Amino acid sequence: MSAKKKKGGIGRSFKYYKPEMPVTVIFYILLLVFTLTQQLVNQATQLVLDKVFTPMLGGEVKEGSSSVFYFLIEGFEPNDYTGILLTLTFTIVVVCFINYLAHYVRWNLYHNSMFKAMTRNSSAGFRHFLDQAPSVVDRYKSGEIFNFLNGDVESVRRLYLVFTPHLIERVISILIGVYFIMRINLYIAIPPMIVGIVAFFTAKEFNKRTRKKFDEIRNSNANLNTCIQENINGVRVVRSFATEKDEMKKFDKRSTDFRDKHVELAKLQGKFGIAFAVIGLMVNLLSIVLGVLVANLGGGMTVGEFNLFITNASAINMQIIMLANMVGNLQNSLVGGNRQLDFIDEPLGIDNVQNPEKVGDKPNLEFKDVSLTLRGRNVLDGINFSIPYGSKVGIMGKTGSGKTLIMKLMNRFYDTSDGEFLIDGKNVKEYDVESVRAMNSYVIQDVFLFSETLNSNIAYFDGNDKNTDKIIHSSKTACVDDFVDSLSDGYETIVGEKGLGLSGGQKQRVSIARALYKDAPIMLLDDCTSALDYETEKKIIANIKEQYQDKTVIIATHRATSVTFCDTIIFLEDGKIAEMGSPEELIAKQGKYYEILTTQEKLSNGETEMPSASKTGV
Amino acid sequence: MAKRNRYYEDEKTRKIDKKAVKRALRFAIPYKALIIKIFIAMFIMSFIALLPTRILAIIVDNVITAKGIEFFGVKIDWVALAIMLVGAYALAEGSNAVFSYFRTKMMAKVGHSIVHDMRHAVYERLQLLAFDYYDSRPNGKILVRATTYLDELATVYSSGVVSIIVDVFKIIFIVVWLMLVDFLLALVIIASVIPMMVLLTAIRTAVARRRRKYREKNSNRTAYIAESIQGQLVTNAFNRKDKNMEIFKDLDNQRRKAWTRIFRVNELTMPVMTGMFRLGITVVYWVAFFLISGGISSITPGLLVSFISYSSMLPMPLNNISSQLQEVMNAVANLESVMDVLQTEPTVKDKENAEEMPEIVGDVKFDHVCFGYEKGQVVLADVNFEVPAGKTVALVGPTGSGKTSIVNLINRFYNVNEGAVLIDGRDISDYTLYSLRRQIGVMMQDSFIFSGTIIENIRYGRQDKTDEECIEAAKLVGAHDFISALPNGYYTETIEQGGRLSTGQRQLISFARVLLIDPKILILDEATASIDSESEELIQKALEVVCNGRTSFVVAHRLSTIKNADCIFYISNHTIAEAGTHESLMDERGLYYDLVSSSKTNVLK
Repeated sequence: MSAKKKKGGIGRSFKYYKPEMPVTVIFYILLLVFTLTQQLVNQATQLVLDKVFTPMLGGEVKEGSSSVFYFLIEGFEPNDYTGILLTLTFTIVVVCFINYLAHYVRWNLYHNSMFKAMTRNSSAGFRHFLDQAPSVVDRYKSGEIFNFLNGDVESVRRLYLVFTPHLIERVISILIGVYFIMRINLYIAIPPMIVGIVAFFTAKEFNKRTRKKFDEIRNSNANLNTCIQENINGVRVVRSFATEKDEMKKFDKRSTDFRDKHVELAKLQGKFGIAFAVIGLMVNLLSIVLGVLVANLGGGMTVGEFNLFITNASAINMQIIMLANMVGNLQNSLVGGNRQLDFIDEPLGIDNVQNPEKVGDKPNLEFKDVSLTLRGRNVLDGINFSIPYGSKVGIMGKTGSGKTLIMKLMNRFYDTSDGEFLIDGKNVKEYDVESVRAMNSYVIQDVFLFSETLNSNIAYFDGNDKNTDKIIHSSKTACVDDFVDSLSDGYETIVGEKGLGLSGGQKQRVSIARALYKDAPIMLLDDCTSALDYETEKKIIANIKEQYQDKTVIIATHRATSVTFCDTIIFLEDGKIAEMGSPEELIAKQGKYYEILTTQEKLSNGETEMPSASKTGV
Repeated sequence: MAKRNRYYEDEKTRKIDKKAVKRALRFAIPYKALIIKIFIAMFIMSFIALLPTRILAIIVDNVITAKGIEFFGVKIDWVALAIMLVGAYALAEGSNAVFSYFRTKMMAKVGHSIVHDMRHAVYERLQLLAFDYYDSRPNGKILVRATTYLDELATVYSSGVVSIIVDVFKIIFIVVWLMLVDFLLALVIIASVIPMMVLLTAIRTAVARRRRKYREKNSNRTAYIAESIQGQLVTNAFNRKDKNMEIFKDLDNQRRKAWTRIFRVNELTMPVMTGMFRLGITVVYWVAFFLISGGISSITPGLLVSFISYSSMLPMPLNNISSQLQEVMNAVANLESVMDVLQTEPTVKDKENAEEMPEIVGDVKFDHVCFGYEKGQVVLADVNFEVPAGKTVALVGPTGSGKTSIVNLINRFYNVNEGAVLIDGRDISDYTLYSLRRQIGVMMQDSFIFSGTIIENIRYGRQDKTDEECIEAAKLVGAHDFISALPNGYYTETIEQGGRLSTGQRQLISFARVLLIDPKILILDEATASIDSESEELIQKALEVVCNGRTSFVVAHRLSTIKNADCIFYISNHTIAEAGTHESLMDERGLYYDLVSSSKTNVLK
């Protein structure tokens, strides 16, 4: 990763959530309504106990009440229990209804709204991933990229949708709860609040330690699963070497560790459980004692008020503990969120200049003193050649000699470190990047087919507007139709990882067909016939030559016989051009190309791979 | 090769298999004593947990009102009563906390120990099962039985089951308390709970359905992201950025819609739970009102308060039980698949009184061997040969002709149907598999690299070999150069099953691994994919080094390997059709001759 300073923090995510501000405001207004109505139910209940049941059961009745609903029943006769109960019951029903409505509406609005914002965030991430230069993306592990578009975006959503609302909800609940206690008696709220502070810090510590334990458990689980997975996937090696006993030992160690970590977590939860129980007990005892004291020695307290006090104090304590947990989890989610925002903010490795040009349809290529340094190593040095439109060029060399890199430069997957890559005399950087790529039909070395139908794969360039004739034509040229007929779904067969597993040779042919379909001015073939037998390779190359008669074909390979049809052969060694010329010139020279050619022919006569009975690759 | 189970066959939630549950319960037997203790603790706890509310009721009735109480003729004033009750309250909640601690700890220990034992049993069984088990199903399905299903069970055992039992006890005690306060009112509350449960179950089912839909949409999106990452270059090379962005946006939207649909139903849970409870309490007020007015009830304000408190404790455990029950059922349904593994008998195993194989010389003989992977299938019919120690045999022939099968039998990866495989004159099934296989080296087509360091991979077969011995083996096969060039040399971590190493490099490490165990008999399945000429040379040399001085069976593809062999077996028609040296077979002008001459040019795969 580039050593750039992180610019800005989680605040950068705000732009994705800003359009949701109106909904957020409604959300918090409804939160107030919700919390208030919750307390209001208690207020009505208090009156039911104090003004109906206590007098009915012969208890003392205080004048007036601290309940906010007192005004509703003030007008009734004190012994009109039916009337009072009716009014209060009706009030409770109405308040409850508002409470439930508030809850339902606010959460539905908010879920939808926040998910929309998260979609905006992940879209930005995906767009950036698409636009970013492959060389930059390569520096990340595929798991990391995945997280940027998935887990990390979720972290940010949780921040806005879960943690922040919960935090605010807790704070509001606590404040409102305290207010209603103070309506009964101004001072009795204080001791439980002090215990609450102890609860807060205990919960924070608990949260920190448990999260650490969860991480340990996660690691232990991963180790255990890796062990089991390798044992199953590598079962042939295990049986061959008869290492079952060693495997059991390895397994037992990891499984025991996994079990022990869980027990340690339980112990941790248990210990803190006791701590929280003691804290809860303290709160309750304090409330009871204070309540009793105020009731009998202080200004007096009704049954309803006592009940309210105990309930609220206990609830406040729980809210404080939840608050502390939220704070801990919140800190954790910031990490993922920031990581992903850094990725989006990272400048594009390869980008367009102002007013880029478009590549013409008969491009002439030239490499002028090109050198390329990657990860500190000089991988290409002093590369000079020119490829006029219509030529057929072969690039030869061993694995790692630089063939693929040259093709990647031609596609502007990298920029040169020194020297220039010119198209029609102008530096490639002056052209629109997309049009540079559009000028090539590039068959990359590591074949990749998408989990779609053969049709969709071959017509990948066109997306949904497939041209069936073109598909069939490309298919024939690349000798794909040879095996498609044997498939039950024909061209509608789903291939790729989730579909039918094609052989290496079949995949390569489809990859070539895909490039042929695009039919760009330049055809780049990067070592794409390694899994094909000689006959098929010859046929395909001949077909390509025909379709691309007037266009440029550049083929990179380590098989000397594959390039004998070319006008020019460029022979690479350790990133430099060792030899260059037409096949005849190089053979006459009896240099490196000649050596490889003859060695491979010897191998070909002496070192053939034995033919298998089936013609189609398996 | 044997057939492979289709990967897409769904692991749908199945019915619970009683036999599997019984078998699984047997794993709990060693922990019987502990489980009983936990049960008792939970029982006591559930009772004690309800006491504080009762105590509070007495406080409300007799202390707040400064009444004091008469207890069997002894008058206790409100202060003394208050102290006693507060003390009792503290005691109840305190002991609840302590019980809770022990229960949590013990349950975690028991639950995870049981699953560890199960996992151990499954893993042990998997070590015994032969290739036919692994051939007939995708690895993923085997893996899930040893990992995911057991992980789910662990959660169920250590918390799911416990919370269900605790909740059941709680409900029983609460109902008892309620009935003790006032029977009629208790019935009212219970009656209000029934519609609540019905509604909650309906909600939960609908939510589960919508969650499934969401998971589908989510996995579609995930799969698309994964493919986009892998196919990055292709996307760029084919100018598909804008189109792919549209596809992604669409997948994102579909997922969002599925998500919000979940909550349209899910957010009804709280209102239903609380609403039903509130309704019940309101009815309770009215019923109590009429009872008191009619002089039937003797409820006190304190008791009424405790009644409301107890009632409010009912919805939660009820809801928890049904949701936990669902999870438990799901985990238990998978028990059958797990227990299945334990009941599978290995097809290739030591016979009774199997002997330890002594150090062999290396003569290999096939005596009228017949073999097929599945019933009725004929792969080898009456194969006979004798190979003296130290000789190299190359096996050639069309794909699927039986070359690999022959070498699979030497190591007893499969049993012969008829006839016998003899080493040094003795039938190999007389010996233990362990002693047999330790003396035979095998190198397969694709070299499996374990996670760990390179030197650990070389050392894999013999954990007691020193680092120097491993490096020596690497030098002999020509792997030393490229390994030394790696960032940490021999201590470089290999990750993702050796993904960063080239095919050629992985093969060389495999060669070193085999050389290290110095086997008298060697089985080699040559890789068919062509590598560039430089690596091919190295591998060629490594092959010669490794085969030297051992009885080697090579399933060969390269003519040079074949030509250099002491003897060539041409396998066709389920048997050895031709045998001899390269020269003798060429003179015969038979099948072998045809094969060689038709491949004057390069590869045909």
